[in-house]
Amino acid sequence: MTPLPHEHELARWLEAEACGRRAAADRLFAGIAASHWARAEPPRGFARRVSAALEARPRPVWWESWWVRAALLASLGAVGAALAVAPSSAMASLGVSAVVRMSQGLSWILACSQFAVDGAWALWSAGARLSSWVEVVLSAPISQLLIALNLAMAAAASLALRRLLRAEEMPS
Amino acid sequence: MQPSDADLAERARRGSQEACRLLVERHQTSVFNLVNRMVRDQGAAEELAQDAFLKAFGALHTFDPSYRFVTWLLRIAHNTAIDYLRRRRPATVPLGDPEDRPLPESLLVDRGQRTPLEVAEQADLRRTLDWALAQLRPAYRRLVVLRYLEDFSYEEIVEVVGLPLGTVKSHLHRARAEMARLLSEAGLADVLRG
Repeated sequence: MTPLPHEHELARWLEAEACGRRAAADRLFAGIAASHWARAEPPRGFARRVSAALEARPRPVWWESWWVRAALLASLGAVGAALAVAPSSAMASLGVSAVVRMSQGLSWILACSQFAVDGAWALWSAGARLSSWVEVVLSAPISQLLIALNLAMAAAASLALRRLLRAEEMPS
Repeated sequence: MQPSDADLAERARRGSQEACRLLVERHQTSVFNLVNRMVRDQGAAEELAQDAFLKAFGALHTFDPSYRFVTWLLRIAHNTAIDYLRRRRPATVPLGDPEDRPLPESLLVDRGQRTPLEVAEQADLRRTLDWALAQLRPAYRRLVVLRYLEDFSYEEIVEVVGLPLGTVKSHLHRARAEMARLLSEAGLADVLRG
């Protein structure tokens, strides 16, 4: 009788299990599974059905999520409980102080905004003044003459340097 | 070049149906195989696998791309199957002594008429392993599937099933030992000894 192709591997695995050699048993069984075992395949058209179910699924909207609802309910409950428990005089003073605080907050926000706008305007006008001064200085005849002189000196120096280098490179 | 799972997951998170479809095609066998082996019911497994994909695509914002996508996906599939098994009490796994469990006809050794070798030759090894796996309790079965059919490392199995590493290793050892015992009882050891 011809031995089955997997007999040897199975025998070695069973022997490893019987002897308690865990690492070897793990390795041998992994080898058997890799070469002789297969995964259960999904039925035909499974991926298509899942894709169709995904497309048909309603898009979640943030206000429909449970935590938004829970937060809304909790805040409503807290307000309701406060209104029910607190005495009317305390509620009145609380309401007045809330209005005062809100108006203070609003005026603070307005002051901050004004400060930011003033600061930006001051920076902008300083930059504008600087650029107009630079323009005046550069457009003066003496400035243009100095720039022209500077350029001429640079050109002359460059020419002289080139001549010097050429003379050094000439064989003696 | 094929896009990576992480890229596809990011595109799917932004609403790409095409990316979802590619991810389903890529991982459908892994998800279905795990769920099917756990619940041992083809129809239920198909529904649960689909449910797992829908849950996963609805929770893509929780996926951490530094982990493997398939590990994260199989954790969702595993939890879906566990929930199903909890709802569907009593489990279909036979209780009592494993020796009382019926063996499939193809594995029974009829010593009076056929030699063990003849039985073994008739029995397809794949079906034999499928049968032995099906005899294990679900807690062991899922580990065997992840380790030997999905080729997961111990650390990845820990990620999926949420058990300590030592427990995973010892359960896998017991699962293999149980499969070896079942196969031996089915006549395989006699066959191998010749």
